[in-house]
Amino acid sequence: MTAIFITILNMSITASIVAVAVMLARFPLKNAPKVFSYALWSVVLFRLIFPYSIQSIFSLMPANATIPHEIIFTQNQVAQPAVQTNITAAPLIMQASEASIPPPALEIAGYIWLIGFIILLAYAIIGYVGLKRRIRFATRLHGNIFETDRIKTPFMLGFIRPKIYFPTSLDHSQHDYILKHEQIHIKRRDYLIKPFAYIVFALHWFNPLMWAAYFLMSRDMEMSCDEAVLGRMAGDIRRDYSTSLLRLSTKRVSLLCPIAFSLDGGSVKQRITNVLKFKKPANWVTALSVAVVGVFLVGFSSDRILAIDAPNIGSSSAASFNINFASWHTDARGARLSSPEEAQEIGEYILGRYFSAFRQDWGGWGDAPFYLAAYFGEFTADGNSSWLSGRVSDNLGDNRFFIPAFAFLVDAETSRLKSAGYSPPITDYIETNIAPFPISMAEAFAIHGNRWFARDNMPLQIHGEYMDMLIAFSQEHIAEAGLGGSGIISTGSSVEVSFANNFANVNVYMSLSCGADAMLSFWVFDTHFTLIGFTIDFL
Amino acid sequence: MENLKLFDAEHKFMNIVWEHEPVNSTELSRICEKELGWKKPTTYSMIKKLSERGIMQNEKATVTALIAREAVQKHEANTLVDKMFGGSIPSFITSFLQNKTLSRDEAHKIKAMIDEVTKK
Repeated sequence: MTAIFITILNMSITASIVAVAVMLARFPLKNAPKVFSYALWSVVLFRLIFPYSIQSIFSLMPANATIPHEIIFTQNQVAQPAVQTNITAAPLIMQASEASIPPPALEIAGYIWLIGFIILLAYAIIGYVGLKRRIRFATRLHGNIFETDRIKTPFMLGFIRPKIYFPTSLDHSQHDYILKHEQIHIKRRDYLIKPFAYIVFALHWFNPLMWAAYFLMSRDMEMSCDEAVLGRMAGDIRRDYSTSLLRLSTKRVSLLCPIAFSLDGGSVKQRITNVLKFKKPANWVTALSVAVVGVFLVGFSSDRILAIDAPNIGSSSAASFNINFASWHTDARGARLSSPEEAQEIGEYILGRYFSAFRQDWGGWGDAPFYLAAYFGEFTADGNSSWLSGRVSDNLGDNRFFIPAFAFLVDAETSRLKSAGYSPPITDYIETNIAPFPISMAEAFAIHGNRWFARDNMPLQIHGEYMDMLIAFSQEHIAEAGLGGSGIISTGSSVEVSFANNFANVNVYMSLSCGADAMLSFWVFDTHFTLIGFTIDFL
Repeated sequence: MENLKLFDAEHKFMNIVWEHEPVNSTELSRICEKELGWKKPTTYSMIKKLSERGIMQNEKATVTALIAREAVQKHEANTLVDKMFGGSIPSFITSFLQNKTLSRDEAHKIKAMIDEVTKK
C-alpha cells in the first residue's frame, strides 16, 4: 500500500507542477478558443496516471521534482520506492531489506488515502445508480434523446451509447441548443473523458490543486463545447444561447453525480460571459495557440533527459530491473582528482558510507591511459550474507578522474539481485574536457572486462551444459543487438563474457556472467563514458 | 384519489394500454419499445408498479386497465384547476379561452355540458 501511495504521491507532485503551469498558460490563452485550454489539461491527466518517467531534451520540467523512486522491479510489478529527503547528501541509494520497511506514518497515510479514494468512488457510483433509477422510465423522443418529468435540468448519461435526457418541463424550443451542445460532447467523447478524469482526480483527492484542476478542466470542457456550438450555428445566436444557459441555471437542481453532464449552474456566469464575447478566432490566434499547446504538450509530458534505456534484451529473463537515475546526485566532494590514491579514497568513502562493513579488494590499476579499479566486498546483515560489488574511477588520460561507483546487493540464498545503486561521476570533467575518449570501449573492455563480475565469492556455480547454453544465448543476443565482440574469459568456476560497441551517441557494453545465477547485463555509457543506464537480467 | 396521479412516463404508458387493451404483455413491451424506447425489463417493471397501485392488472400475460382513461383525465383536470386556479372553474375557462378560438359547434357543446351539470 505504501509503495502505491508513494507512486501516487510522486505523480501528484509532477502533476501539480504541470497543473500550475497550465493555470499560468491559461492566462495568455484567455482570449483564444477554450479548446486549447482544455487540451492543456491532458498533460496533467497524463502526469496523474503515468508513473514512469519519459525523458526528452524538450522537457520543460524542473529537474529532480519527485521523491526518488529509483528501483522498480518489473518482475512482480511491485515498485519499491524510497523516500529520500536530502537528495544531495545521498549519492547511493541502496535498498537493503531494512530500508524497505516503510515508516508507520507513511503506511497509515497510505490507508487513509485508499479509504478516501473508495469513498469518492462510492459517491460517484451511488450518484450514478440513483440518477439511473430516476430516469428509468424516461421515454424516447427520438434517437438517443429521452424525456422524463423526474428531472429538472437536461443532462447526458451513459458510457457506451450516451443518452440525452430532457425534463418534460423544458420548453421544446430550448432543445435545439442544448442538443447541439450535448452532441458535441458525444462527438468529443467527453462522456468518457469526464468519468475517467473523475477517477484519476479521485486518486489524487488529497491534493487540493488537483480539485482546482478538475473544476477548471470541466469548465474549459464546457466552454469549448459552447464555442463549438456557436461556431457551427449559422448567424449570431449568442443572445439566445446565453438565455438558454441562464434559464437552465435558475432551475438548477443538485444532480449529485459527477459523471452526468448537466448544464450545471456552477460556472454559468463565466460561461455566459464567454459565450457573449465569442467571435470566430483569427487565424493568428489559432496558430499561436496551437504553438503554445504544442510546446506545452511536449515540454511537460517528459522529464529532463538523464538516462536512456539500454537495449531490451528480450523476455527470457526471470527477473529484470531498470534504474531511473533521474535524481541521483553526487556528493559535492572532489571535483578534480590527481591520483589513483585519491580515486581509491573516494571510492572507499562512497561505499563505506552506505555499508557499515565491507571487505575491499583492490582491482588494481593498469598501464593503459584508461584505468579501471574495482571493489568487491562482502556485506553481512543479520546473518544474511549478501554480495556487494562496487566499481570506482576511471582516468581519462591526463590524470583527471571521474568516479562512477555502483554496487549490487545480491541475496546469498537466491542469488537474486536485491538492489543496486549507482553514482554519477564526481568531477567537473564534462565541463572542462571535451576531448574524445582516449581509447575505444572495445579496447577498454578487452583489458578490463573480466574484472566486472567474475569473482570467487559468487555463491553458486554453474557447469557443463547449462553454461554452454548461456554462452550460446548471449552470443545470439550479441548478434541481435549488433554488438562487436571482445572475448570470453573462463575461470573454471565462472565465465565472463564481455562485449562492447560504440554507437553514434552511446557506448553499449554487454556482460554475461555465469558464476552463480547467470546475469546478462547491458551497460550504456555516453561518449564521455558516463554511465547513463543499465539493465540486468537474470537468466 | 392521490392514487391517480400519474407521472409523465406512467401517463404515456397508460395511453398505450388504454389504446390496445386487452393486450398481451409481450406485445405491450414490443409497442413500448417502439413508442417509448423502453427495453423489456422497463416495461415489465412499469406493469408491476402500476399493478401494485391497482391502476392496471396483468392476468395470464394479458394486461388490462383497471382505471378508465376518463377517471385519470378528470383527476388531472381537477388537480390542474385546484393547483393553478384555486379551484375556480371560471378563471380556468377564462385563461383557457384567452389563447384559443372556439368554433360555434364547440361552444354549443360546452354550453350543453354546463347545462347538464347545473341541472343536477
